[in-house]
Amino acid sequence: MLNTMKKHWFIVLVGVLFVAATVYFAYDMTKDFLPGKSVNGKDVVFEINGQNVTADDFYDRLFEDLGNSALYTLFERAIVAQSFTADKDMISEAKIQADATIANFKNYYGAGTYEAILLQAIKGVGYSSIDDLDDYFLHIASVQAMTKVYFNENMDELLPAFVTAKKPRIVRHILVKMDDPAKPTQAEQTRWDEVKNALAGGESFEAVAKRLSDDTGSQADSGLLGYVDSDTQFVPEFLAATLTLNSGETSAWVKTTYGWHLIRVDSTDINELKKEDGFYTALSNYYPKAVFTMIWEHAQDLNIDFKGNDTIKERLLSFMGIEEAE
Amino acid sequence: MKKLLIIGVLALVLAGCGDAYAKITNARNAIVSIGNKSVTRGQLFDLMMNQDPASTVITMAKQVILDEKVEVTDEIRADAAKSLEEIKESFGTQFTDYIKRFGYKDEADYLEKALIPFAQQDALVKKYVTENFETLATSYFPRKVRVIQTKTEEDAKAAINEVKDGGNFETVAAKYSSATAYKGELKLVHSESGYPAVVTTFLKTALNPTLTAEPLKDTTTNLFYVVQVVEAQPTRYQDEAIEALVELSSIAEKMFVELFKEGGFKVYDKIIFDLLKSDYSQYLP
Repeated sequence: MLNTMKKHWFIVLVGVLFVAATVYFAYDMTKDFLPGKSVNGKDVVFEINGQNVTADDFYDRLFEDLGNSALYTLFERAIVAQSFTADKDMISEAKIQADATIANFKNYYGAGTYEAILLQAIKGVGYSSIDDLDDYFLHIASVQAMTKVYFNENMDELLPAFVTAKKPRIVRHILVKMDDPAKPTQAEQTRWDEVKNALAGGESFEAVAKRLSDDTGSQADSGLLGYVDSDTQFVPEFLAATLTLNSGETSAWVKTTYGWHLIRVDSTDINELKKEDGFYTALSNYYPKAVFTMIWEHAQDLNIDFKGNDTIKERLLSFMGIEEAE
Repeated sequence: MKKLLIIGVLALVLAGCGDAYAKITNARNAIVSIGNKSVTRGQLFDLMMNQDPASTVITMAKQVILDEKVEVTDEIRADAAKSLEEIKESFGTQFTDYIKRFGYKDEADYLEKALIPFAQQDALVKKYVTENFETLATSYFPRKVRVIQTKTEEDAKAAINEVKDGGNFETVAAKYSSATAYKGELKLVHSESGYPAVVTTFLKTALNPTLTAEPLKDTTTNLFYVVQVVEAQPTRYQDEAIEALVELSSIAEKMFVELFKEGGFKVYDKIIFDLLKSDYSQYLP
């Protein structure tokens, strides 16, 4: 052997150098890697004081602390995927929202860092890559659509209490803006008189609002503010006046810090309210358990199997606030 | 030659290995199936691992330390039970909702999982503060003081002169102090009592009873302070000082950081490690 090595010393030298370089390369590539640990075939997450906490132990503890909401997240996703088919508009809208989110993150965190942050955020809601953002937004839209159907199917039961509590309505207004509504300037008074004269002369509320209202947010829409209820964030005087009106009624002039308003309730009719997304959002806020009830009803149709684990079922129902008899 | 080649190949393979990610057993086992879909242990674990697992690691590691160092005696249980009654009184009828929001099944569950560990921690921190009192007293400089706050330098100077002339500090405070929080009553304070930096510096350097010779000005608020240090030797009021220092979260953290190092805390999962490095680096070796 020695003689062979002596005879082919150059090849041996190259071989030794190759191995040395490879071993060093391997060491250099791996020196910063985090090493793992296993005990009795189970991966260890951390150790302290000689005690090893395995991934299984860690799973049990995480499940105690976070399991309810995590389990519901995956449960809901599985049900929605089998109970609802999104239309093209929803799919397209989800893509737009995903692209906008990526652009916002990029803008806020910078091109070099946004991806890691966005990836962490999307993983936190149960998806695995930034490409799944579309699916995330589509899922949210699907749940909203399914909840809307649930509300429509149960409107007779759910609406009365909501109407009594929240006084939902469709509202429009005309604003005459003033720096000090208690002391209008000459110009402000002139404008106010113009509005009053136009209405007195028979011009419609909508036309006057479109032509003369100083509220730039609603003027183009003939003063339409849309869905309003007792939770709407308006200045107190405006909201109070709005809520006292019946369908079709117009208020007296109402003074706020913005100026003087004329308010009209276009409708309190359920069929008009149903055209407003704000109405369903408000219903969801008033009935926070509705989405869970809806999901559970769909789950019943899909044959659920908790694999004999009553604790899992109990925790899920507890999280959803559902008692089995419902 | 062959052996050298094998070593070389193995080294290359090794270079292709990466960071460790701890996996659970039976990841593919379904927890619940709904129609043609299932939720598996693995999916649930992956989701929970992306929802702040680092704080859970720290909590679990602390509990290992606590269980080793603080036996759950009747005294510990009594302290926990006392805390429970105080919390129940504070929350009233909202108590049950409050604990359920945090995932506790019921009162007994809350006592076992939250309040007994808190009582264990309090006991351990007290032991730590007692055993390291001299060092901590130097770092946190507990002092017994009286303080007046005034809006003007003139008022502060007048207050100082009246105290020097033998005036009762609380009476002088009632006359000149601009805030009801500064009635001049005797208090035990320390570096984390929330005083302006100028007062904290004065307290740190006051090693004997003293009165500020000149008003101390807080340049951020333009308020003035008159401080009388009544006691500056913490060993003379050690029990009180210990009680005050035990309340500080910074001391509990200092203790645990030392205990983590002493316990050889080590992490074997890359996700957890990176999160700890970002938010809890003080606990890493």
